[in-house]
Amino acid sequence: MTDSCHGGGTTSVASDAARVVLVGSPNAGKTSIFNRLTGLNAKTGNYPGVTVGRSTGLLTVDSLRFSIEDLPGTYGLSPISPDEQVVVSALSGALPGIGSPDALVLVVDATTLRRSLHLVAEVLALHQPTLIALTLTDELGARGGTLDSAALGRALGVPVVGVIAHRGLGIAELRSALTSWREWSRPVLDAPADAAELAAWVDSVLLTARYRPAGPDRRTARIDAVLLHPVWGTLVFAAVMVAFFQVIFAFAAPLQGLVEVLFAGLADLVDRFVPWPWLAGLLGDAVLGGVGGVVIFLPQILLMFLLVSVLEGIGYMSRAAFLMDRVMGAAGLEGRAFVALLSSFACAVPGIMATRTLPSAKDRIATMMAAPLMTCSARLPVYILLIGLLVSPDERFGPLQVQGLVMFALYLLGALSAMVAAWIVKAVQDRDGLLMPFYMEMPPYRIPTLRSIALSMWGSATAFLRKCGSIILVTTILLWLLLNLPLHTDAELRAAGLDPADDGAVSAYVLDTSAAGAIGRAVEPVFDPLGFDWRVNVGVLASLSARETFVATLGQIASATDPDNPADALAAMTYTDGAHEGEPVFSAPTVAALLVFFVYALQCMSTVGVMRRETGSWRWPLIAFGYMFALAWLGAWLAHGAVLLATAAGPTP
Amino acid sequence: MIPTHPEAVAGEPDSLRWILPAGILPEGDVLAVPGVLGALLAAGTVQQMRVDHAGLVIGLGQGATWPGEGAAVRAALHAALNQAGAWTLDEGPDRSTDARLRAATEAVLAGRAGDFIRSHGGSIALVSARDGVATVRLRGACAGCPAVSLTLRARVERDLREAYPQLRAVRAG
Repeated sequence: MTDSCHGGGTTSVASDAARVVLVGSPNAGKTSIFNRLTGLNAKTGNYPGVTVGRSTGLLTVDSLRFSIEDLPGTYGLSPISPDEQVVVSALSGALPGIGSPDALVLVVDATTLRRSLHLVAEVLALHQPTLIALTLTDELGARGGTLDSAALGRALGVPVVGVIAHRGLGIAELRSALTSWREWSRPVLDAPADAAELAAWVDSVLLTARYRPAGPDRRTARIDAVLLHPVWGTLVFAAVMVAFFQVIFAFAAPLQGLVEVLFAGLADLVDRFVPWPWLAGLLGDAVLGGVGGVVIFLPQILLMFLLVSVLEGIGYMSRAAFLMDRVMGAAGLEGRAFVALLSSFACAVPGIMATRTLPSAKDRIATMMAAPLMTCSARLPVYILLIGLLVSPDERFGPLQVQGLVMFALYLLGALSAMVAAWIVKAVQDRDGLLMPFYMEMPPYRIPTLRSIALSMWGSATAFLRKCGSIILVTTILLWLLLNLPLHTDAELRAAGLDPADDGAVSAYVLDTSAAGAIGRAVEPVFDPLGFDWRVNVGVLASLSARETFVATLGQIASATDPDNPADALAAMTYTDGAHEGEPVFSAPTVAALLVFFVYALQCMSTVGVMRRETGSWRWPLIAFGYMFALAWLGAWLAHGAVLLATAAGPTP
Repeated sequence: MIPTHPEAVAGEPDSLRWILPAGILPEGDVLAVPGVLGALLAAGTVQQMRVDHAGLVIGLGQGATWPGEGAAVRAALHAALNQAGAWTLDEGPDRSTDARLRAATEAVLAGRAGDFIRSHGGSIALVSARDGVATVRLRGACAGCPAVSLTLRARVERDLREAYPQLRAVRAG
């Protein structure tokens, strides 16, 4: 769920390596084993449905090379959703360009062995060399269960290796077992197809393996009695979310201070040592002021992914999904859709990919149309910047910072809007759709490992920085050119009544007469009712590539105006001309309108691209872009008007 | 339906041991079986069947293979197990109930329960097996240990009852 945009490393794989495919039920621990075997960092969570699509890595044991492939979890081999189809195609060798695998590692969760044996029966019937990696035996034992894994191996006729992947136990044995994959024992006879005979087979295998199922996890049951309670559970959920955003505001500020000091130091160096003014401008304004303005939000991003991965690793996210399933049911969507929407909390791209777990194509479309409304981490820098302009950090509501509460409200608005949007899309195109049954496993509460938390934070930080270094940097440099062209000679400046030695006045003039200025002014009729001036317009237009670019653009404009104190420059920015000349740009109504605009607008080309790929046509991405822009404009206009009325009626602060 | 699953038999590639819960069939060579399984035996698809301590070993005749015939044999076996009383077995001269109890007890003492006792510095040996009562002797660290009766009940008796359901008691002698 905390997949970051554009993450998911797939290394190219040599063809001489034996292809080993990991297969198993959701949440059995395939990806943990995959990571341990390959040293790669695929995302894991205490949460079914984390892996969507395939990822591949390399492993070398005793000079033998293996390509290890991780597949999405599946309960059986009769596919009902696109991601289960991936598993079946991969196992049968039906994926174009890729043959069938050489060997299978079937990952089986010891705590759900009885249910898992049905998948085992189906996989063994494929007649591939198969090894069973038995996971969570530690938890089985802790909860009073027993299992003789050697007897299980004899009963099934295949090798069985116990693995506790998160602690790295059994990985060495698994590695060395892989080397002899050609000699693995194979069952002589398939498990029966007849249901009653299959049940007798399962009973007999479990008896022989002296399987005693884990007792109910009493601790989990007691906690769930509260956390899944319709009233208490919902209250706890709300409290967790409020605390979540409080933490992001309260703890990120000092860290952010450090990053700011770093960038201030860099700006100083540029000032002193870069001789050419145009390069100093590019480095100082575009790279440090613009991209740097986005990078300073790294602490918030890290903190958010830390909290999300802790909540997820503990197992709380599944409970949240369970609580939300009631709400989703009212919106006509099944619980699997919530998992996809929850993924969009980090980024809409993995969220849209997660819709592959939905069996119904119409549900997929409805979920995809809603996913970009969920508040993704790209909105975080924009929200923090704008909330900082709207509310002072000292304002409190009881013990809570108002900044955090506003943030919570924005996330809530996004989530509710996503539900409504999904409901409408579903109602319009699928009037008599049946709700398919949804099984979501409630994993027992577990203490997350430092490793999985660190992986999640590392993944999100690198994805964020990569995005800053690519699309945001490119857009920002482009904007820097637009903001600084055309060039003016000293004669022109004097003709305009300016002293070429007055840097502040010159840069204001350059900005004002720039190409970007012309563009910003050209779209003024569209955005004027929302209270946006031409500079804000430039930022909004730039943010269509990626939302953070808005912050970069404003940072650039501000640092051009007042290089020493861009934050104050932003707060003090006034209209330079027109009917509102002299009025502050970032007045409360305008900031509110901007916030609402960013809640709704689809300002992310990656999302549009992945939507095009997943639906196979431009139709749905265009519909999404259009309806979200309309919604954003309308919502921003309403917010602008409402705040204007409220501040006019009430005493001005 | 009686739970069963096949396991490979070392050294007999044409045979599978169908693991059965203890006490369904007495040990010995199978002479006659009711129903379809009997017909398969008569036709030579199934060449031989014998019941041992763990289950029923079925050997296929020439030309028959498990992938080919397995599903039919399994269905026939399930049907035949529902009338376990109608099977005819040659239990052999050595197959008195006492002998079976003795064999089962020795297997248990050599197995996990015995391993547990030996891992605690004790030793256990069979004294007698008669009329459903197995008498054992505990030595070494077990002598005088207050947990002896617990070990006997929780480990030896439990495992032995699985292998020999007619067990009446395990006694320390």
